[in-house]
Amino acid sequence: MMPLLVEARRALHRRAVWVLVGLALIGTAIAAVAVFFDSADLDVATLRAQGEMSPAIMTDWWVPGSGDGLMAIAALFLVVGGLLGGAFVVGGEWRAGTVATALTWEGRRIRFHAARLGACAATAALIAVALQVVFLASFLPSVVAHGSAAGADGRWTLALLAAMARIALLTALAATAGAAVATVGRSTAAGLAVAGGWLAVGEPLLRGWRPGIARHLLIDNATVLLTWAPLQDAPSSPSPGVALTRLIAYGLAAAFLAGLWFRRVDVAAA
Amino acid sequence: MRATIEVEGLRKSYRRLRGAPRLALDGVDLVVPDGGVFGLLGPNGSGKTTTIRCLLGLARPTSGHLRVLGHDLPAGLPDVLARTGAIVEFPALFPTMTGRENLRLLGAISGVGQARVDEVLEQVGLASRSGDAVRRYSLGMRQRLGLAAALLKDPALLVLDEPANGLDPAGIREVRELVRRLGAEGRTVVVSSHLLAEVEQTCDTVAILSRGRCVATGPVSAVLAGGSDSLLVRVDDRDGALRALQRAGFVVEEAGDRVRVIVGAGQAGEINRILGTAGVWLTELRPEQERLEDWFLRLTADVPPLQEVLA
Repeated sequence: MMPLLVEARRALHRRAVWVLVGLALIGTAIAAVAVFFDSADLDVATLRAQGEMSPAIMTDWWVPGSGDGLMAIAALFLVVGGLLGGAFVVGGEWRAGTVATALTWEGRRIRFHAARLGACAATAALIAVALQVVFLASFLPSVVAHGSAAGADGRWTLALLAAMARIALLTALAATAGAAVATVGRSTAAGLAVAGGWLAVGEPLLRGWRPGIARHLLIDNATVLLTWAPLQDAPSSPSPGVALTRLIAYGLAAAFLAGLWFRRVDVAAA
Repeated sequence: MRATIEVEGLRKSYRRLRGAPRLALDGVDLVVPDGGVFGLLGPNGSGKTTTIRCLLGLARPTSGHLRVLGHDLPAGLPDVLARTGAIVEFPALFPTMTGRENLRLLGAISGVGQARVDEVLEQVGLASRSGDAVRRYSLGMRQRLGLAAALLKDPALLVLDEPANGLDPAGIREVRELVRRLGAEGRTVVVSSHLLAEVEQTCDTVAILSRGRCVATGPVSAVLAGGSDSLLVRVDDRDGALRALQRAGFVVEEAGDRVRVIVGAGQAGEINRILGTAGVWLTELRPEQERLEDWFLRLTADVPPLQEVLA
């Protein structure tokens, strides 16, 4: 069996992964029920006049080029979930000591590391796609019963599918980053503290100190990638292609640096 | 003599955030012969697990030379691991998977088939519980599953770190018999233990580690004989034995229903001959265990403590 498949199976046996998926499904179910009852007396014209959006209106799921819509909220949760999932999978391996067991079977550490991070990324992307499908499908009853599918033509559908693919990619990159940091920190907590600290404190500080540097930061590039349009209110914004390339490069760099460290580190059972 | 493992001048120090690095191995030299059971004996913290971790590529030696199954480490590690099964410290497996799933997943890394998984589960006596999640296993069952995982590759070299940990007396006996059988099949089995009796009953060859150094090595009987300065003799006529041995110039004393002879174990044959000539028949003749343990503790305590390495 391919090392990637073995690692994917190991990742899927982490309880934390299924807890995250379960939370996402519970959140989706609650949102779907709430939207269904809220949309019972929906007046699309009034809603539009007030500039508000509703999941019962299909074209509000994703507004191409603007970053508005239901999927933008889903993206935030999925990216955070990907980060948590990557950190949980690798941190859990360190805590349980299964890294040592695996290394008595596969001594080529870079190969093992690449397979593990690749499995985290692929698994996160697949879960992200599946959850997005479930998420959107859960609002279909509201659309059919109380809302509207007007304007949801082929072009819009393609834009939605492209957005879903980009969200899956962002989730995969977040999982890779979480896994890479947890590899170096040898724990889930380290992965979450470093990644969360960087996104919540490091990047805002840098943006405030040197606004020109913002185009290199993760949040700005992720936002451009998600909307597939340059930022409107930023002094300088990367193009979508540059943001995509830059984020992939950041993910690969994090994986590479973690691999260099992992190649040299002493591994204890737990 | 061909060697499965050759270790020369192995040193390992661990960096610490504060203070000088901690030296765990201080120039260990070892030769593990092909086939049979080799014991790494030493008290806790003597360097047994660190030595094993260096042999399996889990820890990078600070200096020294390692050669395993004809391959120099670390360059030959993939070739070594392909023919080596191991348990390090304790068997770390996925608690939510069944025993069988754990083995299948490990086997998938090296292309080991389902038939071999069934075979090793049978071999360690876990076939009937192989469908249960590992989190429901007792410590002893986890240890057996670890052994099954180590055997999965049908390895030429087995490295087992304290394999009897957590097992009940019946389990310890089973593991001991399994290890002896594997050694007798021609595999090389390296077993670490802090229990003198365990090594004595299981191993053919032993190395005694203390404070990161190898303080004695060789066949178990020869190494342990070096520590015994008395033999216990049980005979049908104790007074007759005392008289015969005293006449022959041995220092003897009563020890309950036995006779203690202060002498090296190498002279057991001579004692047997003297008593036979005097018409006194032996029912037991063995090194005195209590003194052997005293000797082991003395041997491992005599090594000066490892100095902290100055950066």
